Amino acid sequence: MIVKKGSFVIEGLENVQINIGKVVETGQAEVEGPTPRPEIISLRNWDYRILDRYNPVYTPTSDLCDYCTYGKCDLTGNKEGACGIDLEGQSAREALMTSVMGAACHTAHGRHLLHYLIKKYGEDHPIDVGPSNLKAPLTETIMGIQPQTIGDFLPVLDYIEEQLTQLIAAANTGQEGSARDFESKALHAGMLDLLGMEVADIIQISCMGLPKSDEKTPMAEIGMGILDPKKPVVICVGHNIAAPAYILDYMDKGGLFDKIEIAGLCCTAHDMARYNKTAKIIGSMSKELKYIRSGIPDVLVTDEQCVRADILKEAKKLHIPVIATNEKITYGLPDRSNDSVDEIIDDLVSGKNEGALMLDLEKVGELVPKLAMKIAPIRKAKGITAIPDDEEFKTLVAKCTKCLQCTRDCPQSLPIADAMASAVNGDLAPFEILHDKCVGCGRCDYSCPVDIPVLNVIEKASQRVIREEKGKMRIGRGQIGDPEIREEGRNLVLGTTPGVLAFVGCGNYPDGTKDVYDVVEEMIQRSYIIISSGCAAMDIGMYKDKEGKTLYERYPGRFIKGNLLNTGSCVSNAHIAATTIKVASIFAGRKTKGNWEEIADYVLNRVGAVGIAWGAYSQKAFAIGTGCNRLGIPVVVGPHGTKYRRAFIGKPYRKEDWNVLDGRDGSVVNVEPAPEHLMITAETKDELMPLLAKLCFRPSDNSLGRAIKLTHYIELSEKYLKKMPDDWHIYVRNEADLPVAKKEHLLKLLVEKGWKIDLEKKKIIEGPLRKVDVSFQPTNVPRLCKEAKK
Amino acid sequence: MTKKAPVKHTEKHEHAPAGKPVEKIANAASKPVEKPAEKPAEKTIDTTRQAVPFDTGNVPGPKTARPTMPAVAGKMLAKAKRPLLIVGSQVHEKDVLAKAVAIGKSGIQIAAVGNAYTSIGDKGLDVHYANMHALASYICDPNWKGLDGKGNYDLVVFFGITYYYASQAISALKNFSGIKVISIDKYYHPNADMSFGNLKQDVFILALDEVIKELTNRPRI
Ligand code: SF4
Ligand code: SF4
Repeated sequence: MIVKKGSFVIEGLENVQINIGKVVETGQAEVEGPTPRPEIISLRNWDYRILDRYNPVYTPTSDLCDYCTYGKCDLTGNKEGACGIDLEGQSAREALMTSVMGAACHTAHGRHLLHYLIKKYGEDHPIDVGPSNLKAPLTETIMGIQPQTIGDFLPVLDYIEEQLTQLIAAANTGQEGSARDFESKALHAGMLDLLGMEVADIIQISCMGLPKSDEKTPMAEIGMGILDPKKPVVICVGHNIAAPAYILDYMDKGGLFDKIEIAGLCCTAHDMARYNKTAKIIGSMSKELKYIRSGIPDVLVTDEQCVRADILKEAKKLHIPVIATNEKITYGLPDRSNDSVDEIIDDLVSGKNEGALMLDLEKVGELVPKLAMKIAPIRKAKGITAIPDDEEFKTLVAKCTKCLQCTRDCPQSLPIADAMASAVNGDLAPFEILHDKCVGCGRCDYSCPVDIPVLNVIEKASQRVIREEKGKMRIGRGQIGDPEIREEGRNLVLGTTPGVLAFVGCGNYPDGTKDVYDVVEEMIQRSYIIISSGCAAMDIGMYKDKEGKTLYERYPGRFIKGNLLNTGSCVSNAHIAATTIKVASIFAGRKTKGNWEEIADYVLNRVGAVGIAWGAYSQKAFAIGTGCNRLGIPVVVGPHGTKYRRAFIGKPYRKEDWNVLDGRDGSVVNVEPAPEHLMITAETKDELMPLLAKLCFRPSDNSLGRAIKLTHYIELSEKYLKKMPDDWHIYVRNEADLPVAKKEHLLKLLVEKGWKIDLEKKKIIEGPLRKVDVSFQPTNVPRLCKEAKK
Repeated sequence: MTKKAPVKHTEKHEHAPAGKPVEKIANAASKPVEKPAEKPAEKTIDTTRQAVPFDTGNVPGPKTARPTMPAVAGKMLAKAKRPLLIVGSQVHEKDVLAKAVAIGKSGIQIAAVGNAYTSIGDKGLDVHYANMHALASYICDPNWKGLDGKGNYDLVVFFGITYYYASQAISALKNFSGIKVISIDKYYHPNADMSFGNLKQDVFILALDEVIKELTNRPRI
């Protein structure tokens, strides 16, 4: 029996009651590194090492600061505001606030779940994430503890919340003034974000039966065309599984899955499918407004995150009741948590109320299916939809005056007027193309001076493609298990697996969802390991090859080269970052507990992992990226990512930035810029692909690994940018680093670059920056060198 | 990042009111004349109209680009000692590409950002692939030696880049470098020092022609 909290009486000692508050289990807190529970500045030296090489690059969206009543202050040209902050400092402060917001979001999500799961399962419910000893890599590395039960996460959340409060305090006017220290704090917030996500996902995996490191999870149906609109339709929107789980349980018990269609939008959908494989997935946030406007949903259930602020307004127009189930999003709805389900249903069906706040999750489970069954026949009989009929459509497209106001308001600058003109002539193809590129924001509706409901027109014109929008996605698997890391870790560190590419984040793509599919297909065929999560994981499953198969059906889900893994929802991103910790621990035997700097240093120098958030839009995505950066993982975002206002960009021409130490003796070695950047954007997918290949280089690559990585870098650049990369030779240390198939040609090119080459013996005599040394122990941390340790 | 000395902005900004992006062909816009002129006046275009951010929300602050005429932009480009033309993923269209090539032929170095290199890389010009975000960061570094190692630039001119992407990248140059930036794109870019207004495609092409006209004295490739 494990008793960690509560009271008990020992037989024979009935008069003695033993109360246990909280037990610190022995063996649990063997801190191995110098920074368990790091405070705001505990890891500042590590942050400085990163920031000095990967300089923050600020691209302000506003040259003003209006944080306090001194302002608005004009900071144009890096001038100082009334409080003394300059634009650099203000931009860094924005980066901090963005990271804090994202971290708070995931942590609050974790807190909500933990309250609920402890109430349901008790604090002593054991953690079970699958075949792993390293069950909570981020928790171990940051907190220095090895949690065993879900209750062990209570102090973890306490810690994050305390740190976030400290960080927000630093952003108040009259506090921090140094851009560099704001960035260090932003990195701290990013790290906390990873930790908050890990807590949230581990507890739901452990308690709710979500897949546990399962490489063969079933496929879920996904797309706007998968539901039978004739049945009552329930759509859950957001990220938190707690409420939808009750609905699924109620439906399961009542045998209602044949009678009601239930699906999720955004990450709730991931977790619904992980919880109950009968649940279906509509897609990312971009589909939210489009799907609501279709009129197909009969009930909308909201929880938290990525829920449109106008969801109630939109739903009301179509008589779709909204059930809000989370304190963070309440829309001014009446709190009906203490009312009877039947009473609420009557009020919603009659239209007396447009929605209800329902915080009693058990009641949500009963309310939603019953409501759907009752309201659906009424709604369907009326045929309620915002999509125009054929005649209305013709009239609407003919009204367009080609003023381009919609294009100027559209975040994607889509050529709407051209599509309207084509539609007048009966050609809907341009609209069908727009439908994929459109992020469904609805701004065009507001901008049209002749009141064309532009989004509805796009959707009407795209009915054919929408009906065909049916894909498959392998359900989120959770963590990568220790055995998989054992098998693959070596290939990754030596570079013989060219890299791990993590496609994560939201759907604010610059040129449609297809880009993500195209990039994944190209890179997986080149044997990169592809890990996905969140909306990106959904969009990858939306396209099929000639045989009608999605990428998930074509490629298996194990953590080995050429595989495609889906970890799950937004909070499952933690497992992707944690995989690099596992490589450091399991493959290289690095100590984890309280040892962030050493682990991050290992990851930066040796693990060729890159995150891609091609359609990132949210503060959460920025926080995740920033957390990955502190862990030594580079991140690439799409062009919209410049609006995050801060990137971390390396300067390859500044040789002194690329000095690392050799851990064996502390000697300084000038290495190739690897990885060259920590956070950067690309304009198009063609530019993205070679960039990804380049960002997978690490100083630790052995020659075989370097040759493989170089092959992909060169080939991708030639294929997509029609050129040999300008800097390929920088990554060549000796002739064995050269791709075998191209060796002779490349040696000749090196001669042209002034290198001394013995072409007959195919040997490099002079030219490279450094030699290959298989025992090289690259590190950026002086204390980790053997000499220093002595 | 380097600190840009506070500058006083005394230039007068002639912002056209928001509304329809229109080209103005000067004589076409004037009132119809009763008797046709003996010699039709030479058509000039006005690129200073519609100088409002193309993306309506892209309003950065009190300092916004001075609307400029093509001849002025062209003269500045012609006079610059070390100018750089940046073109991006919107340069592929035949007419637009031809103008980029023409500017390149006048000896001006080109940074092909995004996937621009696929169209402009094989034209025998002094063209270099660059990542726009990284390029912006390098330009802000006074010690950077340029794409060819011969020194940083004194003038950046650009067109054919995804609007919001260009706007963000040049906000770094605006605030953290001393370099002059001119947008000769078909969109008004408030973050540049000088910019065309929002132009229709045909006017845009004509405007680029006028810029190119000013480059005749530069050494040709
Ligand atoms: S709904 Fe689509 S077309 Fe309309 S503004 Fe948003 S992205 Fe553009
Ligand atoms: S805003 Fe309306 S009228 Fe103007 S181009 Fe767009 S759809 Fe046509």
